[in-house]
Amino acid sequence: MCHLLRLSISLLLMSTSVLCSMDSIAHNRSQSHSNWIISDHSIEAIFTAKAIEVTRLQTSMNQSLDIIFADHLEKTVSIKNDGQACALRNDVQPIPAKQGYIQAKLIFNCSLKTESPLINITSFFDSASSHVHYAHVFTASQQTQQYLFTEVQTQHQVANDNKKSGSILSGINQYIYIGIDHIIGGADHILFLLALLLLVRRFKDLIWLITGFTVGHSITLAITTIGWVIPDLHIVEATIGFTIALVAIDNIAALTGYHRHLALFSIIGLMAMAATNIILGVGFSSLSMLGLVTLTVAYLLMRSDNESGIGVRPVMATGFGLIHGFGFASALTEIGIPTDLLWASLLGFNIGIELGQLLIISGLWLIILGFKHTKYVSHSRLVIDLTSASLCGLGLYWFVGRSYGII
Amino acid sequence: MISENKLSPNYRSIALLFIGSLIGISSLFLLPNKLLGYDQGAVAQINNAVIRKDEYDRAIALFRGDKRGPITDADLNLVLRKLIEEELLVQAALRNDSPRKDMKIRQRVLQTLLTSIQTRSAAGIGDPSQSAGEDLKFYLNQLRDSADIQMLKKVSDNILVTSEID
Repeated sequence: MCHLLRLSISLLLMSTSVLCSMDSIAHNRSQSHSNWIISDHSIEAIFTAKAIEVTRLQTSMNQSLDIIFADHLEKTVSIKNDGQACALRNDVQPIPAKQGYIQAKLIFNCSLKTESPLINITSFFDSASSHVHYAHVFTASQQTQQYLFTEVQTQHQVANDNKKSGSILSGINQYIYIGIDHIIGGADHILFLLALLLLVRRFKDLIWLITGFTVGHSITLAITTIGWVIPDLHIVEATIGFTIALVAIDNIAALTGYHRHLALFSIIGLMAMAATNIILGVGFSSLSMLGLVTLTVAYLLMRSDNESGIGVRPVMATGFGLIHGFGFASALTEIGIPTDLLWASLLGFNIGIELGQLLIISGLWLIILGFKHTKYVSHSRLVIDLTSASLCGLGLYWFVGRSYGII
Repeated sequence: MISENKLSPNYRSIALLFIGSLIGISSLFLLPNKLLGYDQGAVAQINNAVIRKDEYDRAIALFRGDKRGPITDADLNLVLRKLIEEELLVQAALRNDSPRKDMKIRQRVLQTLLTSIQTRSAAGIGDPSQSAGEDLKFYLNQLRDSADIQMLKKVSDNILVTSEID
C-alpha cells in the first residue's frame, strides 16, 4: 500500500511537470525588434514581431494581424524631441515580411539639428509583461546603437554621435542583459543543467561539467552568429529536448547499471521514430536519426565502463553544449546584430549567458547541498529517480513534439 | 509481507523512467488542443492552415442568405467541405507556384491586388492626402525597400533600378 501510494505520488509529480511543460515556457520568449534610421528631418522605424506575438493583441478573429500590429504601434510608439512630440508623417504602414512575421513602418517628422530624440515604446507590455523589445538605431553618421525596452524601461534617449565608445559599452551591457534573459527564460537549458547536475557529488566535478558545457556552447554561438554556419533551428530545438532525455536516461543508467538495456530501448524508440519519418515523410532525416542513434549508443555504452564518478560527462557536456549553443545563437540572429557591433554584441551576449548559467547552477547546487543535509537524505535515490524520470518525459515531449511540429 | 512486495530500487528507477517517458510522449496527443498550440478558434486544420470559426460563420451566413428555409446539418457539413476544398485548391496553387508561373492566375492576382489598393485608397484608408496612384507608388516603394533586389546582368548602359517607377 505504501509502495502504491509512493508510486501514485510519483505519477502525479511527473504528470504535473509534463503539464507544466507547455511550449510557452521553453523558448518562446515574447519579443520584438525594430530598426531605426535617424536623419536630420525624419526618423524611420521598421518594427518586426512574430505573427504569433501579434495574436496577443487580437480581440476579434475578423481583424488581419498586420492591421492590428500597425494600429497597436501607432498607439504605443512615440518620439519626443526637445520636449515636443514628433508627429507621424502617415499612418503606420504594414509592409511585407518573411513567413511567420509581421512588419510595419513608421515615419516621424522630427527636426534633430541639436537634440537627440527620446524614444518611447510600450508595445505588447499590456498583454505580455515579460515582453522585451530590441531597438537598433542607425544615426546619420552611420553609427549604431542598441536599446532594450522592457516593461520597466520604456524610454531611451538616443545618444549623441560623439559618444561612440559609450554606445559600444552600452551595446555590450544590453547584450549581457539579453544573454541572461535568454538562458533564464529558456526552461529547456535550465532543465538540461539540472539533469547534468543530478549525479554530481563534488565541486570539482561540477566545475569540469560546466567548463565542458561552456566551451561547447561558446564555439557554436560564435560561429553561428558570425555566419559561418546556418543551423536549422527546428532541428536544433528538437535535439535540445533529446539531450535532456538522454542525460536523464544516463542518470538512471548510472544508478542501476543497466546501460546496455536502456541503450537498447532508446535505440528501439529512435528506430521506430526513424521508420515513422521515412514512411510518413515527416520529422528528422534518416541521416539525422542515424546520428542520434550513434550518439545514444556511444554515450550510454561509454558510460557503462565508467560507472563511478562523472566519467566522460565533461566531454559529452562539451558535445551537448555545441547543440545548445546553436539554440543560444538563435536569440541573437533573430533580433539581428549590426555588423559594426558584432564582436561587442557577441561578447556581451556570451557574458550574459555565462552569468545566467552561473546564477542557475549556484541555485541548483545550493538546493542539492541543502537537500543532502536534511532528514530526507535517505530518499535521495528516489528524488533522483523522480527528477530524472520527469526530465526524461519533458525531454521526449520536446524532442518528439518539436520534431513533428506538434508544439 | 510489505517488504517482499516492494520493487527493488533498480526496478523502481527503470519503472519510473518508463512511466515518465510514456507520460511525456502521450501528453503530446492527450493534452487539449489549446495547450498544444493549436488555434482554439479553428474549426478545421488543412496541412498548416486553419479554417477559423469566424470564417466558417461568415460562409454559413452567406449560405443562409441564398437559401430559403432553415439551415440543416447537411448544409453545415456542405459549407465546411467547400471551405476545405477551397483551402486545398489554394494550397495546391501555391505549391505549384501558380501565381508566378501561370500567366492567367498571375494577371488575376495582380488585377485583384491593384483593385484592392485603389479601393482602400477610395475608402480613405491610408494617407488621405495621396491619390490612388500615389498610394500604389508608396506601396511599391515599401515593397522595394523590404526586398533584396540584385541586378545580375547588365541589360542596358543606362539602367535604373531604384527610380524607374518615378
